[in-house]
Amino acid sequence: MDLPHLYLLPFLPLPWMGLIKVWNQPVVSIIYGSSFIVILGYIARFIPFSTIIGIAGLKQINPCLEEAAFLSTARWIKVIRGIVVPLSQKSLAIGFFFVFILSFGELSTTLLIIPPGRQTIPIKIYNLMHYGAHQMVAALCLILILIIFSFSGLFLLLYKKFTKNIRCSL
Amino acid sequence: MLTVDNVSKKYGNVEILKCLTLEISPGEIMALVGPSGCGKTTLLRIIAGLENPDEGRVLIDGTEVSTKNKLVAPNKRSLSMIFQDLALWPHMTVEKNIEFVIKRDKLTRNNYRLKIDEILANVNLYGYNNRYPHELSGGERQRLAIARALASKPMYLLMDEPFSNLDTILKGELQDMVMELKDNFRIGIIYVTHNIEEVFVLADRIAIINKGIMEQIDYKEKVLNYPKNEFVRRLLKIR
Repeated sequence: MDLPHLYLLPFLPLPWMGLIKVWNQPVVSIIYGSSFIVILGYIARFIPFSTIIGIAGLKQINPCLEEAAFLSTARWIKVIRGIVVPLSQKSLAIGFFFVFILSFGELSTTLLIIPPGRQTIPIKIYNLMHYGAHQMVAALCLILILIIFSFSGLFLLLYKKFTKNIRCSL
Repeated sequence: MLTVDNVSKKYGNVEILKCLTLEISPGEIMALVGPSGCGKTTLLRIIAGLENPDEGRVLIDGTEVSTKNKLVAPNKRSLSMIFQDLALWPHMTVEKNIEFVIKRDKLTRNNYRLKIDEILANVNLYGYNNRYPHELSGGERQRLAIARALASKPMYLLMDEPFSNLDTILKGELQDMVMELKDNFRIGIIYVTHNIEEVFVLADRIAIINKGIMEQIDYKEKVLNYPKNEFVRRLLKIR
């Protein structure tokens, strides 16, 4: 494992436990009682995957491109904004979308941290399976698959359109 | 005057540069010649401020810009560099490649355009504003790299084997362009190359490096007539 990935270690085993410990406090109960805690849970759970994809994208950028930029400007923010981010746009988009799709089927973290009265499709499917409503389960699974495929199609279209002229090298 | 004063550099236990000294004045072209791995590119990177020397110093017009503990930012050295693989920003058009470099001048939008057109006209790329680097030919890319390097109006230009992958005709055209630029803008150029013919066409002075040591540095006529040792004689194919 590369050294930069080590900071992700605390997130890997049971991230939801940490989330409950941190957010289940009177001061921040607004967050713990809202759907935002689910989003935080997904971020904690899946950030290692998107980070690895993002780092792989950054490593593909020729260091000379950044050095050439530093020869004309000292502002690193300008180099990040003008050179690094645009050149790693593809991997950043893929990292984002990968996590987005993984989150659709996520069950274990959601079960533990979702506020009362709220549900995601996987939780609904899980509950219906428990009651033996197999037709409903099949229908919801189909809906989930359709949603995932629709978003994937939309993502691929947008990805193709917006990354047409983005090349990492000549 | 750009001065490299007793510069040494190590990577781990490997000594790349050993007490190298050279000077170059504005309006002069110096060719850095030597076999692969002799430290030419490392020397350019130290001069550009992309790396620190382990010993020695680099001075520009008498001001210390690089020592072991001091590094003036590359953009504050009045120099520019053309990398071996050109390092054109592939996601930017020709115009944007130039604009990124001259933006710091804080010109108005119209003045920008005029300035960009002027810079591109200097290297015969006028009208190529909206093309991407991958849509240019090899020679056009080289010219864009030169244009970008000159856009910040440097006093010194470092060229790391910029014409190594070009055919003879194109190489000749670009060499003429470099000579013109040197005369018109009085830029001091340090030019790294393996090509001995190129050295004799372009350079005023030649610096020959072998295993990080400066073997000989002098005007090209003098090097030709009085090669210091067998290595110089063999490298420059002097009979």
